[in-house]
Amino acid sequence: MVTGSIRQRLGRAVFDWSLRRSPRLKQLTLSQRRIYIMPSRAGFVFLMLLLVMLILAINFQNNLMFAVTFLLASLFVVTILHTYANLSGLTIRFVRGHPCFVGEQAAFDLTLTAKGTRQYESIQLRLRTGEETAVDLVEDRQRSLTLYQKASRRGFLPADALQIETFYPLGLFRAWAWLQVDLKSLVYPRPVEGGRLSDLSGSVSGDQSQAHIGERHGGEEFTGLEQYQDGMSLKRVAWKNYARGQGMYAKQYVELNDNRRWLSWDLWPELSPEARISRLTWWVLQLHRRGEEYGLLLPGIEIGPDRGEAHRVRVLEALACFGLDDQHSTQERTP
Amino acid sequence: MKPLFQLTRSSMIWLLVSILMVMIPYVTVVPGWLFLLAVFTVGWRLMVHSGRWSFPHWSVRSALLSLVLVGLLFELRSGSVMVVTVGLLVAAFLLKLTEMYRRRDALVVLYVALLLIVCSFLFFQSIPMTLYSLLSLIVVTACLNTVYRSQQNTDIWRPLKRSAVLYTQALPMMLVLFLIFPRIGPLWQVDMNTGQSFTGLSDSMSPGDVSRLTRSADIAFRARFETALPPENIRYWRGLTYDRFDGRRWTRSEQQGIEQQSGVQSGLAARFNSLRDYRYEIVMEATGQRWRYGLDVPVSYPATVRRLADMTLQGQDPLMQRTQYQLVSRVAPQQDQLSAGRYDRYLQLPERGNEKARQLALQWASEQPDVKAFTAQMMTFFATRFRYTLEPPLLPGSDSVDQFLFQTRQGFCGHFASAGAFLLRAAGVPARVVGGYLGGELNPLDGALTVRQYEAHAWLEYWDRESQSWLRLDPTSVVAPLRLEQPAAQLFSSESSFLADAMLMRKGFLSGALLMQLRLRYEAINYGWHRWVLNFQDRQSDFLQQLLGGISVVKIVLLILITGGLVLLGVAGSLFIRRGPRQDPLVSALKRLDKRLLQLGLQRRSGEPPGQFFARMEQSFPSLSEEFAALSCCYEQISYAENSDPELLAQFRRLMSRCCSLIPQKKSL
Repeated sequence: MVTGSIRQRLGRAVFDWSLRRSPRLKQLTLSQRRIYIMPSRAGFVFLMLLLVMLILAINFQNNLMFAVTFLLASLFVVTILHTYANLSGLTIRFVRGHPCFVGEQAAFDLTLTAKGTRQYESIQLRLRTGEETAVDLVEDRQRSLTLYQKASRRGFLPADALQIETFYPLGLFRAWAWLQVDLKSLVYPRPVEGGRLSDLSGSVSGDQSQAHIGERHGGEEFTGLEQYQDGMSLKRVAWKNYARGQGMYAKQYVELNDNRRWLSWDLWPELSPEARISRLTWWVLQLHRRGEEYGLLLPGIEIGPDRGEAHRVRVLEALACFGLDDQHSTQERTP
Repeated sequence: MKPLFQLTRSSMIWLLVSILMVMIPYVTVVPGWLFLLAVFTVGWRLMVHSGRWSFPHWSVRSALLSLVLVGLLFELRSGSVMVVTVGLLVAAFLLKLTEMYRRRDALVVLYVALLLIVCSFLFFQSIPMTLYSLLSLIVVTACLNTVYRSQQNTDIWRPLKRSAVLYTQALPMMLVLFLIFPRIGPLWQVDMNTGQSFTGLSDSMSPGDVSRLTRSADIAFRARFETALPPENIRYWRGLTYDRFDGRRWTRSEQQGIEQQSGVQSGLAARFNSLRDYRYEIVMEATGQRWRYGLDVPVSYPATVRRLADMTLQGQDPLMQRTQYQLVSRVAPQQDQLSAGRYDRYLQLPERGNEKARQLALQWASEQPDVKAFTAQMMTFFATRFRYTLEPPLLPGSDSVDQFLFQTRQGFCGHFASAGAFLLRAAGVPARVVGGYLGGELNPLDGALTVRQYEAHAWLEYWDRESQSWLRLDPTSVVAPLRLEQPAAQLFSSESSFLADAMLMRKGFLSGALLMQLRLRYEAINYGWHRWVLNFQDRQSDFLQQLLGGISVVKIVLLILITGGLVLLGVAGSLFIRRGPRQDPLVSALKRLDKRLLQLGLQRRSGEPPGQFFARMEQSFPSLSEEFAALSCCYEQISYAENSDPELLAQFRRLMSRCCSLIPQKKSL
């Protein structure tokens, strides 16, 4: 147990130290400054095996045994270079982080580029808390891959340190590098079902809604057809006209009543703040799926009713960052 | 339990090849039933791989294990400890195949395979076997490589290539380590008995034994002389002497085997005399016996062997591996003040039996005045009435000497030596039978004498009271005088039993000049292999002395560091400096121009076609417009019309360098 904890602490210290040496960069090339190399556990067993062979050779005074023992020992030494070469010169570019919901795996895109004509095999990449992925760069010079990391809190999630390691070619050595990954993923709140649709309709308090009163698309009364454009809900397509070969038209409705949905912080006062955010998130997803217009009202934040993917992202982003004292959020919002 | 680590198809293929290659040398070594186990476990592993079966239940595995253990215990009663140990290793290797759940399990199998390859050198050390083992190493390493490859990589030959490259790069450092690593003695006593059987002389001899050896062409030993070669008729290689006769067989009495030569013999300590002394080196094959061969009387011999009172050499242990030693021999009578006890021992005969022979001996003794005349009469007797043959009639009776002397009168060297010693002893002359070899084939390629089993020989020695020394007497020399002058191979070639076990060596098979040449070449290589590799420990210090001019720790460390460093630099160079495909001369010339233009901000824009680029240059540098127009023309000719005229390319280069040199001046104006 004691040795275990010492090992862990030692490993931790090495890890911290190697991260301090590695600045956050968008793109970097692995070189001797970042690559560490040590015999693997199998490598140590191999050394024991060599010792056994040497003792056999000495005891039996057998020069061919000596020769093979030394050949394998030289192989061991040569493998250091091969394992090291299997990482060095590799260029890693951090591309982007994908948003996700709490409880899902946040995805981060990377590309690996080989140096010159060199070939890389069996490179294992892993975010510190994530799953391992193995990559080859034999014929192609460049590979894109996605690494995952569990998202447990809403808000901006910086990617964990990235471990790149390889045991290639013989597993006798482990070469590895720890890198700071300059990527973030936005983690949306976990959607939790609750409340009724009727809670939402028209429940708008005075001054905030006035700007939006008037004729708006997307209401209940049918007024005519308009040319279909990308991004319009498929529910509005006039399929009969389309079937007659008249082209794609969308049915136009005029909203007479103010039945735009407002997702307000005050809807469910009985819930805790996190629970409210989760429920609001669920309703955002619901309303988006139904193609309805919705707006968001949070203390200090108001997003007018609208629909579409960009709107959804904006609303979810606001929900994800709401109430978090997070300097990343402001940085990240400026593209 | 389901495997956590699935071997890829290429892993599986290489694993099977590895197992096959590792097991093949053991066919003749380990008990045959282990190969049943091999078929069983490999078969099961294949079924698991194809997904039809799962790994055997633990009860099956433990049943197999206990069966194997019991089987090996049985083998222990008959075979050698070493064979059983290796058998255990083989069994563990095979059984592990049936429980490969993790990558670690695959590693265990492959590491044991490496160990088995190393252990195969306990049994085989020839050049072909060594090459084979190297190949096995490469295959096992290739398999090790596949274990560490990602699943999507399915190229089958790539691991083998990778492994071969690794070994090529490892070779130089291995050589240095091999040359330099100090060869210390065994750390503890090991049982060298590998269970093999040897052909050769044994410590008892009945007259027919020696002729059996002529069936074999195995090499007994090789000798290489620093001094001149001894003439053919004195190439008597002594191995051991027999001093006890029981009426049928000659054996060694206990004293014979342990009696050390005591006291300094006068004359032997005299300094080296190139006329009668021979300095040489012997590479002796394993015999499983303690004696070592030497020419006549060894006067200088290594510390690891003793010289017995009968002037034969004896090692400390039975010889289980080929060995190498230096000797100086003197061709001279062996001085020996025979003590009373030893005198009696050399006169020992059975109480009764062979009465006619005894009578004959007594009769000669009474007729002849001295020993010399006695032996002369005996030799005449042999020479006139006896026939030398490889297939003498059997002597079944109790009076075998009588039968031979008076009835069959056909025999091989053993018969003559035995009968001669009997006659001498019966006449009161101390005598003994000597077992050894006579002859040796000179290989002109390396100057070494090769002595083979069919050159085994027996002769006798008697003690001469006058000179107080032992004298050699070889009845064969009078019965078949040719035996001393001709190679045995020539002499016996007509006898059907000669080399019956080595058909290829018989005359007619390998007598063609080319084949003979090939055989000699092969033997010379083999001899070099034995001297330089298999027995390197005996010449390591000389070699290092020559190489380094004196051995010191500093020099050796420096040698290791320098060679190791050079090799690693070379390997690193090949790994890291991978040149891309050769650059097109046009492209490189354009790049050079571009470098110049970069300072002026006029460099070729990305995606700009060359034609357009040259046109832009014509405008930018009006004074060089002609040159650029010509360049553009050349470029089009070469790259689009595929005109590969070297003159055109040279012109392009000339124009380019002219432009390059003129551009900056242009700007400064």
